[in-house]
Amino acid sequence: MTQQMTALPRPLPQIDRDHEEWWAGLRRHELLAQECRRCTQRIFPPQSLCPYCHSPEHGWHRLAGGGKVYSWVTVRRPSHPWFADKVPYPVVLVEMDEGFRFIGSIDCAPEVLREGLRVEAGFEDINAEVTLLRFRVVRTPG
Amino acid sequence: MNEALRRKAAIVGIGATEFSANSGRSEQRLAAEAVLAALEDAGLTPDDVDGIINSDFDATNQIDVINTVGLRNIGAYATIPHGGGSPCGTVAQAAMMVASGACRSVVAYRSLNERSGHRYGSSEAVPTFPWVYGLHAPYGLIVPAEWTAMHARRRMIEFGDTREQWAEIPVTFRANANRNPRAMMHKKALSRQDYLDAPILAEPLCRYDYCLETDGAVAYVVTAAERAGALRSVPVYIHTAVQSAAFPIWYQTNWYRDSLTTGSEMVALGEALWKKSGLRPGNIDVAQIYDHFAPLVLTSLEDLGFCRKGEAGAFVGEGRISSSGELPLNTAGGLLSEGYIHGWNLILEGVRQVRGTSTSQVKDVEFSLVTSCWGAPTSAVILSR
Ligand SMILES: [Zn+2]
Repeated sequence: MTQQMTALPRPLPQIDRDHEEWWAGLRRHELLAQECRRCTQRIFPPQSLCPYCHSPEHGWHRLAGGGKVYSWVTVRRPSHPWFADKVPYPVVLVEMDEGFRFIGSIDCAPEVLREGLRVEAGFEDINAEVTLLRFRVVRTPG
Repeated sequence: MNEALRRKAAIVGIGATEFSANSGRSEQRLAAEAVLAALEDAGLTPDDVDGIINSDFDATNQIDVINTVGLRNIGAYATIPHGGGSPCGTVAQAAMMVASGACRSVVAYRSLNERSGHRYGSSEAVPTFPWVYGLHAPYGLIVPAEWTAMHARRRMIEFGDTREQWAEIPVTFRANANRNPRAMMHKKALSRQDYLDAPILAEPLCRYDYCLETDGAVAYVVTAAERAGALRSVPVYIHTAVQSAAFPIWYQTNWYRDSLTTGSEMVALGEALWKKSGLRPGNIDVAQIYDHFAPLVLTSLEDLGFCRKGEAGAFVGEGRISSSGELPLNTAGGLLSEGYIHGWNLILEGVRQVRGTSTSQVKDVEFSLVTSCWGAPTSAVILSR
């Protein structure tokens, strides 16, 4: 059992029917919000029907990629074996300039993080199906 | 339940097993023991019970309880969903079942070997996570504490909350547990310095911000108000019990909507609670606020209207929430220090406060509030004499 636990791979998402297009966006290194074709409301996370007009027809709005750190967690005691040798690791909640929030990893030490820190969306290809978000701190020139 | 059901039902029996780290018994047996204890407390027999309720997270099927307790007359049953949001919702359901005349007496139970069996705070041994969980688990936010830390941090950002303020919750609840022989932490003191010195696990949370992991079961019995007075126990009337979901809402990971520091379902719950009860927060003599994580007690107090948004950190100071304070909270020790029966043990303590049998008894309790989980579709009940 212990050996099985330590051998556990990184936890990955199940990519289901209602959300495969969103994950396909990440594979193309595009960060998407769902946009209703009928009423033009944009939502994230995506839903199978538009909750505002109930249309099943939706497209996707590609976000520009810029945003700010809204909140973050630094995990110091791992709860999953894959992360055991990665602590302490930060996980960020980023509010994009267009107004949607996303969870991701980030390319900096936890000490660097503060509310409002400018970041941009980056992409980490895990396997043929899964690409994850890895934000980058925007380095101000000078 | 609406105003028409006010005081139409009563909790007439409560029962519990011991709370431990290793019960040595099956969850099914624990459930049966708690149900039998609640029936004994009420002076009822299994034949008197014609309704049964449990929570969706319970591994003990109602069939197991029927077969162990020998419930021969079950004619109505319900399971209330949303885990930690469900407990007070089961009280609302029980009240509706007896007040409508569908049932005479309803038993509700929650049983779990949460420490020796499946631990909610450990990662699932599965390689992939379904939608919504899949949005955060791959980055290492896997268990509820890691999700909640995101909300807790946001309290620090928006309101200037400090760990010194948060300490008031676990330290006060521990003092209550120290007076309660049933509490898992009965003999373990907790000082402010212990809290401040504790290692940070999911920053900004430390272990004392986390609820316990417990093996045990609790149960209660509800009957119609007009029958309650004839029974053995002092009836505790269900003044008002309400449930609330919100739109949108995300499985305790509400990071995608307007606020991380206001729970729209808890705000709506509070509005329904005060409207349907005809009461105000100032009428509440004692409260058991769902305490899976200490900072969320603060957010619940604000959302329910006990203080203004962002001010709970100061509100809980100066002894206000101690057992002799203006608003005594979690007087048996709560989920942080009595035990974690997924919020159901809070109902039992709410009943004891009305009966006058708490180990941290508040004087002259007329209205006793119990709430369920912040961040999920949730529920609350006001119990009264
Ligand atoms: Zn629409």
